[in-house]
Amino acid sequence: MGTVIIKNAIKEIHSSFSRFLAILLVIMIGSAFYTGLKSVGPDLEASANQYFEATHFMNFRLLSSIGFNDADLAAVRNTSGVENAQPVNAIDTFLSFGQQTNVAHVISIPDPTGAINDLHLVQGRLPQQSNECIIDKQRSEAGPKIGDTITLTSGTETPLSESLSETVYHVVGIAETPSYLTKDRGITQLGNGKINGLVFLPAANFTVPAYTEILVTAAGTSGISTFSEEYIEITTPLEESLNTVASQRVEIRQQELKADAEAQLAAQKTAFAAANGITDPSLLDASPEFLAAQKSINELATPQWHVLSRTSNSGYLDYQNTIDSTNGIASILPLFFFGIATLVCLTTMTRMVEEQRTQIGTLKALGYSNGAIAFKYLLYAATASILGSLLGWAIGFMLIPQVIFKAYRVLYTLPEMTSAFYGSIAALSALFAITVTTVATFLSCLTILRSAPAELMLPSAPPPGKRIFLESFDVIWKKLRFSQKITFRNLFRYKKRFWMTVLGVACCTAMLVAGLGLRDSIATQVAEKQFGDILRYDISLQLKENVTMEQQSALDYTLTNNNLSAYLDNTVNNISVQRIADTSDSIDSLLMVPTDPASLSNYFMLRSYDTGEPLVLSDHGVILTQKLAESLDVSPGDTIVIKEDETTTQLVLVEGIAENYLQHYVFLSPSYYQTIYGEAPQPNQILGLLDSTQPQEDLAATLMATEGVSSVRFTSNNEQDFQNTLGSINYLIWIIIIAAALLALVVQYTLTTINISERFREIATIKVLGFYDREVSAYITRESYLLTLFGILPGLIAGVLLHGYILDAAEVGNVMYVESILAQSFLLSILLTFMFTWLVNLILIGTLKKINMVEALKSNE
Amino acid sequence: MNETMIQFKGITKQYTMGEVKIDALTGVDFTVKRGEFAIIAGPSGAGKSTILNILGGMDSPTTGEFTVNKQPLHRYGKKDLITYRRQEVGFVFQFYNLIQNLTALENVELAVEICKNPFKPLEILKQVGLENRMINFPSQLSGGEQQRVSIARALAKNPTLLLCDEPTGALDYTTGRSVLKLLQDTCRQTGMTVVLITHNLAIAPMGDRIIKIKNGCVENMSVNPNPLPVEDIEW
Repeated sequence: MGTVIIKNAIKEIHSSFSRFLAILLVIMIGSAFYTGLKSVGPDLEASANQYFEATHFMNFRLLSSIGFNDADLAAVRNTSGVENAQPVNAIDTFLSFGQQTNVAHVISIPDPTGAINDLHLVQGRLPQQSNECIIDKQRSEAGPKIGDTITLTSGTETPLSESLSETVYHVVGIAETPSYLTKDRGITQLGNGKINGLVFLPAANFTVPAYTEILVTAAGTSGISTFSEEYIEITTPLEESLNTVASQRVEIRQQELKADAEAQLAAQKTAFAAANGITDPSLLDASPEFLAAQKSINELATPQWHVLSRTSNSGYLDYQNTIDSTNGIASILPLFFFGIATLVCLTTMTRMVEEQRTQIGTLKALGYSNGAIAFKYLLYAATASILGSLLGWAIGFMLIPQVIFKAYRVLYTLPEMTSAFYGSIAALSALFAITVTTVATFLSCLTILRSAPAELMLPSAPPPGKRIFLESFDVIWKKLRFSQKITFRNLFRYKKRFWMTVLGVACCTAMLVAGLGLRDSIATQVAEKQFGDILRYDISLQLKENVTMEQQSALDYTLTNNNLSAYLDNTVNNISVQRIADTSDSIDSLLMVPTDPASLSNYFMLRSYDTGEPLVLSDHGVILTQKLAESLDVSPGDTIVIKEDETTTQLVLVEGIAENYLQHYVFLSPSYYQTIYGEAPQPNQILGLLDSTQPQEDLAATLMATEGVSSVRFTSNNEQDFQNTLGSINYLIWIIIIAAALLALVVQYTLTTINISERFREIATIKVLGFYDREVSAYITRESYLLTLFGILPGLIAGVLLHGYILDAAEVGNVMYVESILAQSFLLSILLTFMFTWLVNLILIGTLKKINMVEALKSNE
Repeated sequence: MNETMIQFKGITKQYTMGEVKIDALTGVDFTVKRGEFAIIAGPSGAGKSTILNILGGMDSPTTGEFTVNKQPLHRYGKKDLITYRRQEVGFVFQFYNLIQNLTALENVELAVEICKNPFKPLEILKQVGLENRMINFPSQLSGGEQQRVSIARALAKNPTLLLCDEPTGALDYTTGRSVLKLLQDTCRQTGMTVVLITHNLAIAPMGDRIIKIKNGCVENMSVNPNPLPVEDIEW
């Protein structure tokens, strides 16, 4: 290729810079969205892998109904495929700090040599003394800091001193652990059933005879992504071997237990015989008590081992779901952008080639080959798309993941989320962009390059006028004003422009609807409905275990004298719920037993999720919240299993499904509770309504100082927390709105400038005929407003679909989004779309004014 | 017939093209009386187009004064000039400049839409002999027919001044003649002032007034007491 052609291409870029910029911008937006959304999934994956490698996150976690001994540990360590196995001790206790008392999960600190689930120290240091401990970051945020002292107390009848050598600890460090990726700490049998914090103690402090769990790492998993197929291939055989070991060990342990128990029984008999002067202890076999003892030994339950993989860790599973939903979103949105990019490129290049037909003809006449001539345009388009891709990469690999991480950091305890450059994603986006632009350019050139030079010297005939379909409807057509007729004719005359503008506008509206709709669904409406309609109590008090009658009456006195207009005693327990007893995943939720079901609706509105009718708790069934019912796939009339722990399970009948957005609840009446558990519920929570005059801090302090109260929570604070959590969604929505705006501007600008340049003579002519500037502008802008209108309608529909798709992909956990989009979001989308059109028109009115009428007198072209 | 329609006094026009200054008009003086058929003739580059642009209110002179229908146009701002074009001037272009997407009738209607006292488009089209071609689009019309639509569009506005820029430039000889005849007849029958710009001096005898332009100024202006009908002119 001659340097002249290259020089010519560079000059072309300079002289038609706005066109060049248009291609560059659409490619930039397309590639930014593609690379950005595509890289978030891998980024999240890599960040997790990095964290798991650094902390030696376990590949398997073994639990046993009777704990583990050293022989068990040795057997696990000797299993082929096991790289390392470490014992862990853990116990649930109450943690007291100042006024606060709630449940903590106390875990032994991993052995520094060959540690598994190593702590990620955020602040401070590891314990050096036996009375030092580390707590998790989340617990620290709610109370104890480094240097503070916490007290652990037993939650059961067994004194804590039997399990731990110390009970009072100085906090010396704050840490995160890979076992808890989310802020959810799981459930416990103590207190209200919810674990509030983690405490890490030196392993030597545990004085229990058996280990609670064994953590296992698999050989050969280092450097392999935990989310890959390869990982599953490596760990599946190991899981099988561990299960084999488990069944062997269970057998041996049962024999040992039997032998121990029998030896013990024999010893007892001997002792009894000696004490009672019986010479032959075997004579005692027939005595009822020893008979019973012998029977219980014979019936000794087989111990259970559980081999749990990473996916049974709820935080891990959530994280994996997040990656999947991110990848889901990434699979469709970017296509929108690349589609638009193709359109813009095709129109722009076609026009450019058309405008330069004389020049092309001249070059052809001079003997330049088709290839050389096309090269100029290909170079032009390729340069725009390469520059656009590069800029897009910068935004896509750096900016977009950071914004999305901001949202995810709220949900996950991962210390670091890092964005990386992915060669394959980058290459694919660039390849796509360059292919799209060059193919579009090539197609644009094709017709012209096939023509003979002489033909090219003549101007191309303008498309002939045609009657439009609408004209056959006399009723409508005759009613139109003359200017309206012209507008309609023109719209349908330029079919390509018509469809492209409609499509571009539709995409823009769709993205706006989806973006604003996401905010409605995820934040605005959830907050409005949950905290406005459903949760009606203003304050909730968590009570300590075993509140005495005296404490109860003192509490009642405090409550009635502190601006609480009404309150309801409630029993709340953390449970897990399953559809059928066996295999299906169990879902954590809250069991709610209001003492007075009749007044519940003042505190918690139970209404049907579909009809909105109020629901009443009966004496023979439960009411589930909507998302829980959906996740379990149950409807009224079905039976579900509720579990307090692995062993205590109850079958209950589902009677109703209530509207609810945050958290899963199962509502029970006290009498039904009595029926299934055989005892009356022990209220452990008070829900109250406030006359909101008193400053809430004072009230909280007064209530906390009252005996029997373990914690106070205001609904307004909960709402604030929720708003903060979802505040991050606004970043995403801004990205979408900005992208939609840019897209709309580029598409509209490109198409309108092309429209003007194609109809240059026509515009000049009407100027000569004496149209005022505003009439000339109206002549053109009427068309673009009408096209915008045509684009908005399908755009709204596409927006609703896109919104539904993203919502589906994004919804995880116990949050339910409101599917509907608010009317004001539709209105705002329409308004913004029109505003973008108006903005483009504003720029173009300037161009129209500059059109020189004298041109109208000159020859064609 | 003696009322002054157009008066040019010392009109100059200077263009700046980059660093070069071009004097397109160096001082043009002429008058045209109401109802006259005036022909402005000269070789290309002489400045006739510049005169037409100024006369049509599409461009303003650098210096000098000129009036059309007693209006001091050299003092007019942009907007007043548009109003002048809109109400007083009918244009006939060399390349017709019809809107491709409008039928013959609609092209006329487009111009009429914005006028105060227009004629009925239908009647004007009949007058130019196109009553059977009204619903056709420009691409379905011959060159001569298109130029007739263009003339009809200009006439329908009921202008005080009809400006024609090389109206026969893109037409063959016979068609050109019939178009010229139409213009001449219009002038005679309606008393409309017609200014025709051409490089073809051969058609000068058909005008009431002939203004010859050379090198940016009027070389010669003459009144022709006996204009010839178009049928008698050959070129």
